[in-house]
Amino acid sequence: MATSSEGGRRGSVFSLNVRQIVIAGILGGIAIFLGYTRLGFIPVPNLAGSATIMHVPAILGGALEGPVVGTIVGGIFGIFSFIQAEVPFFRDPLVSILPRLFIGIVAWAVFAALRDRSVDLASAVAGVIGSLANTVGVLGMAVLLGYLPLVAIVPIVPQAIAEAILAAVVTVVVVRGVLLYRSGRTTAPEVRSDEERRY
Amino acid sequence: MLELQRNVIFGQFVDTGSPIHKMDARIKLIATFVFIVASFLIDSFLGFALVLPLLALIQLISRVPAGYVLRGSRFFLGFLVFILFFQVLFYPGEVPESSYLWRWGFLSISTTGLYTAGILGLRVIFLYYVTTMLMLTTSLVDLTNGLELIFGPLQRIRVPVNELVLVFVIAIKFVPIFIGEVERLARAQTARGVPFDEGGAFKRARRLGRLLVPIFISGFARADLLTTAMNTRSYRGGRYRTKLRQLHSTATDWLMLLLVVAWMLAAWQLPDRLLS
Repeated sequence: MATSSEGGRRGSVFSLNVRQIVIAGILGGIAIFLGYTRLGFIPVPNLAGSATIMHVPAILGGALEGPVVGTIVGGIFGIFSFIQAEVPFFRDPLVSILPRLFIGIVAWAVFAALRDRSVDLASAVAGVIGSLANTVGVLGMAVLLGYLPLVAIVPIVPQAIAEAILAAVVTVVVVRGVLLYRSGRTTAPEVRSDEERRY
Repeated sequence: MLELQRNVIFGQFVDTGSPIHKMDARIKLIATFVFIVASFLIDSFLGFALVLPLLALIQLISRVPAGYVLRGSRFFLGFLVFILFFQVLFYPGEVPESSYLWRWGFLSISTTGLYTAGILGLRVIFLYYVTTMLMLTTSLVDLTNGLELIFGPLQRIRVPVNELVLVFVIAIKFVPIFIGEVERLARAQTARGVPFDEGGAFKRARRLGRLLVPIFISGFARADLLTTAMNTRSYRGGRYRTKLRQLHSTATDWLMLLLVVAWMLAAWQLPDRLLS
């Protein structure tokens, strides 16, 4: 009781419960892990150097845990890409951090809107839109601030599409898996009868 | 691929009990911040040459084996070379005609491009080195306390500093765990006959999915466990918590910080003054 009234009085701009703290931390950890081990990069010969799936944790955070977690994970991703920046225009926090904050928010909005239709559809669209939010945001800022000429965008388009598809696939599979895990089942629902499954 | 853990030292803490380990975490954090700012400002080879002795000094005093740091950075350095190669080939800036060494369509190698890539590479290595050293010489508890104290004043404007710092610390703490896990997954799949070192880019990317999806799912599973553990211990942010170990800075700590600031200012300003 004392805690809740005290919490109300000293409430924060946005409140975080233990679960949100932990999930944001772990997804942030996955983002750093993907970047640091280079597992999250698929080398592509162009100016950006590589296609990435480092933004997928931010999409998942937004879709599964809401906008606050999504924003924080995006922020961690942004700070990491800022510190490890190998490409000149990522050295500007306006390019490397700011646009990343919106990945999770966009993914959450899309996922929440489509969730009642079908979870798979919602995750796929959240993956695509979240991924595009990252690409458009980063490149938009880079062009706006004059780091890249508008022409330089053209060779990046196929990469952006590849990233969006990759993000969509991973998001669908992981959301399915996590929902399955949370439902308490340890195996996927059986479609065949016991007799057929035997060997 | 299977030797990740040996080649990546992210988030490790190597306790040698050196003076740098004993420094106040806040001072180390501020010094790292100064280094980061400096890495943006310094823009000549001479400037980076001036920085080098200070880094060597830090390496020496910290008593962290240099071989260990180098081996742990193999992955990073390999990738950096790859990226810089493309930076040179696709150099987008204005290049005077005389500086072209080789040219084919929009691909080119120019001295201007090589110079820019060189500076960029040094900058990235510098940044990587300072952040790695900070983590190698500072325990996670000290790092947390230091960050909480530095950003503490933000609580006045009701930013949940303790919570955000905890998010950050969990993220760092889990990176080595995920590295270990992905290694185990890759071994398990190799034992079942999945080749990870063969095939073209597309095949490799597809195979990566078999590692990534389990990592995400196990991440969420771990999150549930950790949440339960923290709730049973009644975690509620940093409010009313007292610390067993208080951070305190000595005069030497401040002197060291002053040295770092002065050194970085020199590395930034001297080359221009000397050359002009």
